[in-house]
Amino acid sequence: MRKILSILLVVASPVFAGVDKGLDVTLELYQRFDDTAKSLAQSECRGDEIIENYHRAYDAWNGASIVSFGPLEQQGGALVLSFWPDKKGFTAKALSQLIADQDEAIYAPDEFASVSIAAHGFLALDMMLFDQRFNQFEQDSYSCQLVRRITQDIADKAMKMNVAWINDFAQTVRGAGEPNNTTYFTKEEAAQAYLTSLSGAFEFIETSRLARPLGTLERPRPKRAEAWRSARALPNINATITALDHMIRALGDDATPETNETMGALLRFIPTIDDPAFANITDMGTRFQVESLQTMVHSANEAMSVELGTHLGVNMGFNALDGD
Amino acid sequence: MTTRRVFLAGLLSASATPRLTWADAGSPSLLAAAKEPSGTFALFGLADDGSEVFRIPLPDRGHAACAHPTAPEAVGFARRPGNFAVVINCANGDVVKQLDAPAGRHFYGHGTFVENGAYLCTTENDYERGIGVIGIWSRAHNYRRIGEISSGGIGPHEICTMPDDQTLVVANGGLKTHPDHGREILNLDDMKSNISYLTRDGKLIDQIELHEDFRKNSIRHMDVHTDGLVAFGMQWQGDETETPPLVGTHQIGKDATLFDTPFAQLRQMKNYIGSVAFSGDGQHIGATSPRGDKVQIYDTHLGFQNMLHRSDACGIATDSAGFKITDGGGGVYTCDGGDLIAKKRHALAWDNHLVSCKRS
Repeated sequence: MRKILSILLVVASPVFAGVDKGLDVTLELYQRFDDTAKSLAQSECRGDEIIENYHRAYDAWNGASIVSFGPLEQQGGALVLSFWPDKKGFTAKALSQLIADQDEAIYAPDEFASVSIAAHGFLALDMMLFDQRFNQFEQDSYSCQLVRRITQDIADKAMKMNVAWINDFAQTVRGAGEPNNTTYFTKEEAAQAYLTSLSGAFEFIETSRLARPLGTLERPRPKRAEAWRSARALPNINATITALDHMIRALGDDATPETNETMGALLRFIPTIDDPAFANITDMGTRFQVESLQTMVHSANEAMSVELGTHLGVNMGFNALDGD
Repeated sequence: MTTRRVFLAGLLSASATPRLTWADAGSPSLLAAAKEPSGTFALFGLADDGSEVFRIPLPDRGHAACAHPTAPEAVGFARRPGNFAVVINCANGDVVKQLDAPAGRHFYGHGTFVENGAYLCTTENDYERGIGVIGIWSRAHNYRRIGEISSGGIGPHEICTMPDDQTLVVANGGLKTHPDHGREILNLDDMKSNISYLTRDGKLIDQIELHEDFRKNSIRHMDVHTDGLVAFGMQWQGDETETPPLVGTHQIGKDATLFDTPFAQLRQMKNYIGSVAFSGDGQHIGATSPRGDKVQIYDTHLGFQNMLHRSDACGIATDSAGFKITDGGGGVYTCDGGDLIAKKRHALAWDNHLVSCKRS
C-alpha cells in the first residue's frame, strides 16, 4: 500500500510542480513585456532612444508570446501585436492610408482599435521606423503621432495582459483541477496548454520565420523574412528560443535532457549566424546555416514534445492535431 | 411517390431482421468514436450522464457515426480517406455488415439515414474524376449498395437528413484530394464550397455558394433543426491572417446568414470549426474550435453570444438542456449556453464527432 501511494505521488507531482514553476516564468515574461513596452511608449517618436526601446520591447514580446493562451488569446492572439506573415502587404497599405488621409482615428485609443490590425504592433513600427518610405518624418508630424499611437497601443495591450495574468489568470492556472475551475478541469489540462503553446512557438519559427525567407534553393526570399527592415529576423528567433529554454527548464525540472542539450546547442549556434535580417540568405554559406538552424529547431520541438509530454503526462490535443 | 417504396422497404426490413429497438442497446443518448489508452479504437454508446452504455471495437480510427432512427444500429465511419464503414448492432455488438467503398471511391467519414432508416447515404470521393458522390445503401438488402448520386460539388463532408426524412443536405467542402496524396488539397486556387439539397434519386433541389470573398471557406459540418434551419461550420483555407466568418445558417430557398464574431474571439477560433449542433430548443448553435480549445455559442437570431474554453473540445451534439460536448481528454460535458458542466471523464480520447441518437 505504501509503495502504491509513493508511486502515485511520484506520478502526480511533476505536473503540479512543473505548472507552478512555468507560471512563475510566465509572470516574469509578461512583467518584462509590460515594463519594456512602457519605456517604448514614453520614447520620443524619433531618435536613438526609441530604436533602443523598440528592440528591448520586441525582445520581451517574443518572450511573452511563447505563452499564447489566456490573456494573449483574450486580446485576439499574437497577430494583434505582430501582424506577420503579411503576404499581401497590408501593413504598408494600412499605414499609407492612415497617413494619406491624416486619419484622426489615431488620436483616440478606442478609434485606433477599429483601424486594421496590420497598422498595429511591432511590424507597423518596423516599417514606420526603418523603412525609408515612412521614416522621413518630423517631430510633431502626423507620422510622429502615428508612431506614438502604435507604441502606446502596444503598451496598453502589454499592461492589460500583465494585469490579467497577475489578477486573474495565474489563479486559473494555479487552481487547475480544483472544483469550480471550468477552464482547466484537471492539472494536466493546464500542462497541456503549456505544451501546445510552446510547440506552436517552435513550429512558427520553423514553418514561418525560417521557411518563408528560405523559399526554395532556386528562389530564396530574403524580403519574406520577419521584420527584416529592422534586422530582427534572427533576434526575434533568438529571443523566442531563449524564453522557450527558460520555460522548458521550469516545466521540465531537469527531466528533459535531450531537449536541454538541443536548446543549448541552438543558443550557441544562433550568434554564429552573422546575418540578422537574413538578407544574405541568397548566399549558399548563409543559407546552409539558416537551414541548419531550421533542422535544430525542428529537433528541439520533437524532443520537447516527447520529453516534456512524458514528464508532465500529457499529449498534444488529439482533435486539434488531426481534425477534418 | 415514395410512400409505396417506403412501405415495401419497411416490410422487407421487418421480416429480415429481429425487431430490436434502441432500448435493447441500453438506450444510449449519444454515439462517439474514441482512441483507447492501449492505442485501439472503438465506438461508444453513452447515456445522458456521460457513462458508457456499450463499447464496440473499430478496425481503425473512426471519425463520425450515424444512428438508425429506430433499430439499434449504428454506422461507424473511418476517418478520411477511409475505406471502411461498419454497421454495428448496438444491442449485441455484432458487426451487421462491413461496408466497403467501391473501386475508385473512398468514404469521407459521414453518413445519414433517410426514409425511416430504409437507406443509408454516405459521402464519398470519386477520386479519379475528382467529384463528390453520395453512395446509397439499402438496409432491407443487408446494406447492399444500390447506387450513387452526385453530391452537387467536390469534397462532400457531413451529410444530414432534412425534417421531411427524404431530402438530403450535403456540405460540399470544395477540396479536391486524391488518396495517393493523403490529405493534400489539389485545387486550392479554384476551390468552391457549397451546400446542396438533394433527393435520394439525385435531383438538386437547392444549392448555395458563399460570396467570392469567402470562396476559400470550406463548409464541412452541419446540423439541421426540426424547422428545417441548417447550421453550418467552416474551415478557412485562405491566408491565415484573414478572419472570415466561420458559422452560418441557411434555409432552403433563402440566402445564407453568416454570423459575425467579435475580432478577439474570432481569432481564437483559429479559422477552424470542428463540429456544429443546434441546442435542444433550436434557439442556439454550438460550434467547436479544437485548435483554439474553444466552444462558441450563437443565437440563431442574435448571433454571437458566448465563448467557452475547453481543451481539445470537438464533439458537440444536441441535448435537451442545450448541448453535449466531448473532448480529447475523455471528458463529457453538458452546456446550457453558460459554463460547461463536467458529467464524466473517461480514460479515452474522444474523436472528432459526437452524435445524438435519441430518436426512438
